[in-house]
Amino acid sequence: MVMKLYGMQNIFNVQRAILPLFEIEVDTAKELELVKVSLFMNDNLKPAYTAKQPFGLIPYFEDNDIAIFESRAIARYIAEKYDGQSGSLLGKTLKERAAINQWVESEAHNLYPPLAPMMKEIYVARAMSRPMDEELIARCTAELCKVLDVYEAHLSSKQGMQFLTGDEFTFADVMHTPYLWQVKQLKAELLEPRPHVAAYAARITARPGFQKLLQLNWDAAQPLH
Amino acid sequence: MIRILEPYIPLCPEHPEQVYLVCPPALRTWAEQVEDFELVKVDLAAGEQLKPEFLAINPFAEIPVLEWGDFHLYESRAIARYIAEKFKEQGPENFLGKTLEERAVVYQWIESESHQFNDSAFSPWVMEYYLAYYEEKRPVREEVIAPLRARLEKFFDRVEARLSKSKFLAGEYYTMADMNIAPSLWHIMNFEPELITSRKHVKAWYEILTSRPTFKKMLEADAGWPLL
Repeated sequence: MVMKLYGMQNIFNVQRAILPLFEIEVDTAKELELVKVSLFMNDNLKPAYTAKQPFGLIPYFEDNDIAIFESRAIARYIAEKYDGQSGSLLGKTLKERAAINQWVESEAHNLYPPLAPMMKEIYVARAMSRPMDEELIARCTAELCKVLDVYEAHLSSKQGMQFLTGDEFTFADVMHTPYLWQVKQLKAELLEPRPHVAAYAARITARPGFQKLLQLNWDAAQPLH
Repeated sequence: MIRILEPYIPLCPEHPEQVYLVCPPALRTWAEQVEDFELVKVDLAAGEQLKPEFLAINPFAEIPVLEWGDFHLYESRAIARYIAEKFKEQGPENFLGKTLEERAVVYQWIESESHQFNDSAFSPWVMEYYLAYYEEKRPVREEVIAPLRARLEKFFDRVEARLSKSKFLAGEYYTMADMNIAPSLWHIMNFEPELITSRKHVKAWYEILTSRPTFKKMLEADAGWPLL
């Protein structure tokens, strides 16, 4: 039975959930089905969906008997399911895993809180053809800059540091990819004075796995029943 | 010797429950699995977390931090996972789930606590109570608390529905998903108990979590701080 991902295009939490599948190079054409849950059509609020995801959020994920929500839980499940196949995103030793988990939490609690509301405001304002809430954008930007400064210091702390926990790409870097892609697209000026973060963002978003994810065809997704 | 650096909150005699105000989830796991540890308080009011020595171990200037020799780890949920994994053979239970299927559901509820409860509702809600009662000595601002309370109500409605089908968040036994939220539930009981007591299954679950001997041990460990 195939894995099912419920969501829609251009939603960064949906991308975060499923990116490990692409990094692990699972044959997504054969093994992954998409089910469209359109936020514009309020599909996420329909009883058929809230019976599965009681918070009315996307993504949601099914794999045989497993049915879970929360993008970071989905991503972790996928990484564990395929652990050992094409490397180990989650780390081989206890200490490696601890460092990876620390940066996974850092994305969730340091980077995401200022970044997500800002990105949502930019996209929603555009979609609704209304002016952006400049005060919100300014507040989030100020907070985000402080966080990016810490990342800049961290990524420049060791000569030639490629990824957050060292020389290897890990689950922590997967978690950072979708939102840093958005920073690159919409707030590149924040990266210019932070060359190590800029290089890191370029490095993780250029990976073939992420590029392939961006090509996912949500137009061909099944509708929600 | 394992050390946990966590916040020092000066005690306020009129509100003795304050001593439990910040009890990071990591501390819970300690009490469950580790006998030999030391708690080191970091005085946030005095800005100790902004000093170079602290920033060197956590550049985000946050607590808690775990220290074991030269190994440092921050982010309470990463610390909790590390401890659960490190001591999984020694501890009485497996807090993360025994099979991949079980773990997926544990992870789901760990993330739900983290994002739908803590970051979006509980944390700013408890901060307003803390600022009002202990720092600024004023009533809580209803315009700040009301929307956060509404989010807490929604979260607890979903938990009530979930707990009507299973004994704990992730299934029939106690896991890290329950562990991570327990200290926060304790604070909710202090400030707005009806959020918990008005919901039959949430109330029963709360009673189970907080009557575990290890929960009491955690409260005792936290209580041993000098009065101002």
